[in-house]
Amino acid sequence: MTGPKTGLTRRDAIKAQAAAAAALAAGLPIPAAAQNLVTDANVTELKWSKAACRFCGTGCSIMVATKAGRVVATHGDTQAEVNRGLNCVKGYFLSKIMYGADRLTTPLLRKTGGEYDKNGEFTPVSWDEAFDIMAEKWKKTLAEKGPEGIGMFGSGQWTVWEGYAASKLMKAGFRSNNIDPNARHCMASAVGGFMRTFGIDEPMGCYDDFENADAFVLWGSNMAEMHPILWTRITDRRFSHPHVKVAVLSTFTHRSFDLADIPAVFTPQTDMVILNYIANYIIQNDAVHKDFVGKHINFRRGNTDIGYGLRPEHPLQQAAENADKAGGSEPMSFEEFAEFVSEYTLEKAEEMSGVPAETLEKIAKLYADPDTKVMSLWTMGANQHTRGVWTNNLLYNIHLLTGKISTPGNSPFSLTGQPSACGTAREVGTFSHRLPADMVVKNPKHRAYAEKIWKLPEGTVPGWVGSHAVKQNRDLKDGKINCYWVQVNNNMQAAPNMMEEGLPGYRNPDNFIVVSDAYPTVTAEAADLILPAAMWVEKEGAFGNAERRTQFWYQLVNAPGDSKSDLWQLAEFSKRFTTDEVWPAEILDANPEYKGKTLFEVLFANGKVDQFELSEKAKEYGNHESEDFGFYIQKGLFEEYAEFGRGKAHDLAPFDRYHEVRGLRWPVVDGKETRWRFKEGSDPYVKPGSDYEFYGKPDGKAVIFALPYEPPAESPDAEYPMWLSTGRVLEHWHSGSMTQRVPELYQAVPDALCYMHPDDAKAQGFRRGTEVRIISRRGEIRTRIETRGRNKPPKGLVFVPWFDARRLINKVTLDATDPISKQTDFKKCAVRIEAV
Amino acid sequence: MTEEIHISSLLVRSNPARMGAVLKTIQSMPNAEISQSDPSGKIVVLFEAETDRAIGDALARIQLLDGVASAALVFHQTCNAQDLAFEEGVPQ
Repeated sequence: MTGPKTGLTRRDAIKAQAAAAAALAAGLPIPAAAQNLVTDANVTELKWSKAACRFCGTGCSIMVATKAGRVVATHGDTQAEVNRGLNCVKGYFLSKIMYGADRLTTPLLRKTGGEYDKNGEFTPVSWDEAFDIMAEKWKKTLAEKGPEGIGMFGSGQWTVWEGYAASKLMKAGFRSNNIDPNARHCMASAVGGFMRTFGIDEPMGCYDDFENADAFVLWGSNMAEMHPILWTRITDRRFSHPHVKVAVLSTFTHRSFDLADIPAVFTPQTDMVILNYIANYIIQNDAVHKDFVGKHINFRRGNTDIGYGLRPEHPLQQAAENADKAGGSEPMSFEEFAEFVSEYTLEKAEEMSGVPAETLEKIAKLYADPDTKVMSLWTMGANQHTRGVWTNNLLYNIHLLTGKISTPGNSPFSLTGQPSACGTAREVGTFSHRLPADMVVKNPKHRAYAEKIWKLPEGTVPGWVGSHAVKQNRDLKDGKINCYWVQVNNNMQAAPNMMEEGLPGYRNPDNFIVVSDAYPTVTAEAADLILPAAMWVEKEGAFGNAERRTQFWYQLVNAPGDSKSDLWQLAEFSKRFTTDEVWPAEILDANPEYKGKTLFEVLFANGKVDQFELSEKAKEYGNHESEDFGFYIQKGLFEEYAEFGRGKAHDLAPFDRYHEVRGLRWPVVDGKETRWRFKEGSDPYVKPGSDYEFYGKPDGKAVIFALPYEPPAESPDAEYPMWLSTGRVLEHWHSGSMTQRVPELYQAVPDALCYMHPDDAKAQGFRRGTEVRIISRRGEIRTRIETRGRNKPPKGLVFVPWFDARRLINKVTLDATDPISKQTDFKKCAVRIEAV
Repeated sequence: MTEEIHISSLLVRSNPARMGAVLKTIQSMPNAEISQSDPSGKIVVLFEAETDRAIGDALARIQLLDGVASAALVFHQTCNAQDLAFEEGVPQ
């Protein structure tokens, strides 16, 4: 048998296709042999479809090839503005994450002698049996304790409609606001920063800023490893425009420092000192954009001494004056603000941060120079911080003082970690205090708005703020929450202080813990019932990325065995409850038409969510949920959800459009996406003639906050002399529950090591590879010393990644949180290191 | 007898001033073939290997080379080695 008539063998054709795809992505000429082959399906016999990458918050679009019901190839989507045909190492292995050997395919219940037993062995059961025991436990707890006794923990990896369905089931169905996403661990401080400064969530700029900025300042972020595709855009800009400067600030040296024109390693927590110094520098050097500040800014003095989000009986909480008024502030003048930051002199900043004065000045000048367009970028370093909201506020301060905001290249940009931390956790509002489109449960008008859209009786949605992530673990341990459902996340491994706060709650005999996942994670193994989940392209999905871009994909392959999507699980479970069992008599007496109905009927078959026929779904793709329920549930949920934001500066396009395009950045008004918000001419919500309008605030003005440096919850001392910082490495994503199933990724960095300065190692008699114990006041782990890795801590600090389920660094970390955002500080606690 | 052939392409962004050394190192790597390079520092690398682990290892190595600012994967396809060999007239 010979090759095709072109004279090329199939191997040649595939290689030419590979070369062409890369050339196209690079903007290089396509090799002649490949020009006609790029999309010729006949040559490769594959069916190609688009999907959003399942890993980080960048939101790359990926072309996915299926053959015989299996994903066999992926490549970066050349039509995608985000990644322009590129793919990072995690995206590269996307085609393998669904095919790990230990994939869960059936519900598993802990049993002894055929009966449920909290201390029994995991035993395969049917979906019916799984939901029977779940419903029994939920009903018992609801009867005994009411809605406060149940809880749910979700994720920024939920698709948009999964998060929406979960939030609706919990807040409207079960009438419990005890639902929070793992985005609490990564994005809550960013949200708090946006809401305080701008009154509306998510970045004003977008990724187009990368090609327009003259300077990039990384505040703690290691984009080279964590956001490689966006880093490629920065490197492109840097190498092709010699005037461009890159400043990288972190508490240890990492891969992103390779590109740094201005590198700076600072003492943990002193980012706040540096930021206040820069504000002071801008004022002292007459670099304030007075016209912008005069027209568009209010100044406020934030409450100080706000505590550390620990349990109320903790001495640090007892000592904090404003622990119960952490978010408070009062107005002040520009002059008072100038006076406030004047103590943050260059000398003080140098002394406290350990960064040389000339480096600090170079960074300050990037912001102060009116001709330099600056993009600031940050993720967990600023957010996982006991003053994370403050740090976000301080970052906005220096952009607002100089008017460097909302125009191409002038961009304070909060990056995200998860693929839909923005699209689902934040925009849908799956937090314990939120509703869709930035509304909150505390506000009666917002609840009434939600009840109207949801076609539910007045008073259905409760006004109490539910328990956030860290408090949910405390409530489980204390027996306040007894039924708990975890979906798409690995919180036993991810949450802080696991031996004292995490595990005791899951194993509390009073509690029934359900975990939905595709793999047997540490969290799943700590549960009582495991539900097998369909993942990524095994279901129709939607994510929203860090630049407000909403992206859709179809179900491309079937999930293995009995695994089902989280959406299916949520909606199916809702059939097991009637309103009479979960709603109070007064609501039903006032609204008798709701009596005796199932939660499925009132939440999903409500005339809205079920308004689109099954025949409207794409013929060439499967859709296991819609096929089971008999209507196009994803479209119905999305259109109902979109009602919340349309006309309220969160406008989403019609459902079908997202299947056609590579995503759109909201607000989408008159069919057009918005790239820069708050600026006249690029944002349709800005009133004509106002130039800028920060319309999230009633008077259209953004807020500059006076906030001081306050020390961390725990610092090194004689007994625990080292700082511990945690984080990630390129090859693994989050807790590694997917990436560790890809042998290639696992092989590259198999174990979480303790990165340490060679002098510190030498002083303690350690060598590279020495096995050590990392000990804190809360727990310890064993691992090995690495003194030559690409993460290079300064003296006095060690860095340990947290992907490794056999070396759970969260046995060591402290559950101190930002008192405003309730986000944990995983970046600093005190430890000592001992040889084993 | 191997069952799979993995073909992939990689776009490397090197510091233009150090691209020569980067190219030399990549050329010396097994399974790697330079498809194109550009004075701006861009390099297109093709990989063909029997395991994707070999590709993963090479990728990690390139990404950590001095002078490489970023490396991104563009394309990956897994092929049945028997099919390719059969088509090319050399059944294994």
